[in-house]
Amino acid sequence: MKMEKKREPEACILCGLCNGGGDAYNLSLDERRSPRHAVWSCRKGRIGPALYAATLNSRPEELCPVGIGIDAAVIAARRKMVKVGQETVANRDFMAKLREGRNPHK
Amino acid sequence: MGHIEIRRAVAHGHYFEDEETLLAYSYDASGIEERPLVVVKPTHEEEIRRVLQAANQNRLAVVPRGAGTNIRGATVKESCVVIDMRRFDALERLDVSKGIATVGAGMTITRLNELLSKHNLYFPLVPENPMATLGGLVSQNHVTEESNLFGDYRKLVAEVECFDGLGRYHVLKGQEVERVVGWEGTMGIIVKLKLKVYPRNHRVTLNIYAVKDAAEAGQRLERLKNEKGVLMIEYFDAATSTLVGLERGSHLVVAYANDRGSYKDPAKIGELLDRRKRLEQTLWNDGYTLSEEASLDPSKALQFEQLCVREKVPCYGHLARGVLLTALKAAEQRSRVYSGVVSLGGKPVGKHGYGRLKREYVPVEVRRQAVRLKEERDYNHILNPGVIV
Amino acid sequence: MGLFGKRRPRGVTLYFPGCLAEAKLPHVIEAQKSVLRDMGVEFVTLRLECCGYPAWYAGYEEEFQQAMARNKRRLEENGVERIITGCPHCALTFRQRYGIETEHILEAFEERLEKIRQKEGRSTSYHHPCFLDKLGIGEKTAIRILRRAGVHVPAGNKAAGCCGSVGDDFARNNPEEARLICQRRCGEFSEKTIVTACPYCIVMFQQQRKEAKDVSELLGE
Repeated sequence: MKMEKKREPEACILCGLCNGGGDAYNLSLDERRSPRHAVWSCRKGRIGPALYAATLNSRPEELCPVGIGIDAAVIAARRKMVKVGQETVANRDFMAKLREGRNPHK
Repeated sequence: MGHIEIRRAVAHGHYFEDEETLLAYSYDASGIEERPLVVVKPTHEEEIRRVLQAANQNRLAVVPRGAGTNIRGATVKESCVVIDMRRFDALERLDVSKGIATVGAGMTITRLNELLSKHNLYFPLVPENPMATLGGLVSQNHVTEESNLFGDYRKLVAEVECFDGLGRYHVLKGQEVERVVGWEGTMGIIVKLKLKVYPRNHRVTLNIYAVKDAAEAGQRLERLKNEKGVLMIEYFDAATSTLVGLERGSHLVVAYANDRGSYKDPAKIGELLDRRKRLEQTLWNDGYTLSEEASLDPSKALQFEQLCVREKVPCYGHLARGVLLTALKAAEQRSRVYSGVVSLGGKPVGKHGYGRLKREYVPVEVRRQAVRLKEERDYNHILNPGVIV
Repeated sequence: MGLFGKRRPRGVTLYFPGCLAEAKLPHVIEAQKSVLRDMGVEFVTLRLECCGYPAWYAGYEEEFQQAMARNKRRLEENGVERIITGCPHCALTFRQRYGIETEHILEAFEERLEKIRQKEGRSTSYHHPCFLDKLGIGEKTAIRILRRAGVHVPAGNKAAGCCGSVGDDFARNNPEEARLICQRRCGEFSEKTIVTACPYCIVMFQQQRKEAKDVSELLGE
């Protein structure tokens, strides 16, 4: 498993190479959905629905030349969002089932 | 208000002034952050024409943008209208017999070469950032190692369709393409290109010369002048030699699009060329995040290398073309390197243009030419103001 | 020793299907258990809660910690020291967050290649789930397994990348975009059947009306 040490979003040089692995971005060509924008938002401490708008699979991280931990950064920002009570409707409904110990997919 | 007219100029769903979009377009790869007024994402030429008309009437700056990979700040500007050209990304036509591909300015070379590979063709000038779009690369006249054989975009662009700053549509052919190639979006918005493409049927071989420094490498250039099929002549100092997998010390690597070189193992050659293509990324990872270049007479290459040694940064590049490259660690190194290059009679550009970061280093004759051309094509100076002039 | 002098079990391998497979792909669960048994793998099944991956990725750390604590208690009580799962998201969660030795089912199959039955004459497209890359499991592993089973995967049909779901993390919040990403992905396959190794991918492809199967279903045919 890939466990090499990843860098914080502050080390991002905004080259945009990660965008090559952003499926949501490549489908829509919408910068708001780009992995780069997700990292930039984390850097700025910005929280909002945009944090759920990019696909967090492995490819943006693999493409990043400076090794930014994109997933970890976005998850950390999402945690802040949840802590201040900002939830997406979809997550809120999903989590209600999870809290009750139920299978959330049923 | 001006941007109401901009909204009316484009189709529904192509106009954006929400907070998230304005923030997403407030930066590119340069580190400059300036918030635009609005962003439009046209899919049809008529929309661009109307946006330019409205921008002229309201004296709004217009900045064309592709993937936002520009490292000189040429795709961000405070209170401008950003025209995102990425939706012009089709391979419209491929004339295999003539070797001409008609593509939208928003297409990337990676994608273009994927499509061309099905016909055993390719476009040779692959940039170090595969996300860059053709419109941006042509605007910067972005040379690569392969330019040694193929030339730059002035040679590889057979035709350009573009709008000038007044919203007039032009089809530029042959030498006329120089009206937009290398002008960084200040003289026109490129919509479509006819590019020369080539069969991918040549074998690549190498000669690798261990050299003492850039001067010795330069001396070898004379001997290479009359050789045919020289794809690439790249200089690597000791540091970059290690990064591309060469032995200790500096090297001159000559790649041939034929059997002339003494290194013939395709796997090893492929690996070296791949490492060369990713060298900028490797340097970024090592903390040398500010890519820089210099256009110099090859006879000055040693002095440039010495400047790099003083700054403790690498030195490599397209020696025969006189485009040498480096990468800095700190922004304060920039002015020393730029001034150093100018004092050697060179220009601190070669691949990425002047943008906004190097505007003060634009030579007087280029600035005068720009002013003259602006009078013809963009007399309200709405196209990318602050870049070049 | 347990409370009444009973010895607690040790060294047990758990087969964990994951909650999506439980909810929507019972036939995949049966196929996975059947192939593991044929290969001589001894395992138990347990009623556990969701591994917590959705909570972890969505930023609900407190809920994740609670689910993990409850699951860990159950695992310990039952002497589970190893998990085999068919879900890459569960596998990543167990490995990275629970710290428990976990194999994705493809790894279990790869270790026992010689036990895979050959049956020629089948051709499928292969979709490599993006989270398998996070586990360090490459596309080559799956292709090797399929080849061993006599399944032909035409060149150009091994598509690496996202089905649009990202373990439902993306799909839940962006259903239309997820659907379009999946539609685009489906367009890249030439064969009627898509085989993959993730329940989220299977469900996405099935929603596109594609015949999508787990690797274990082909091995068990």
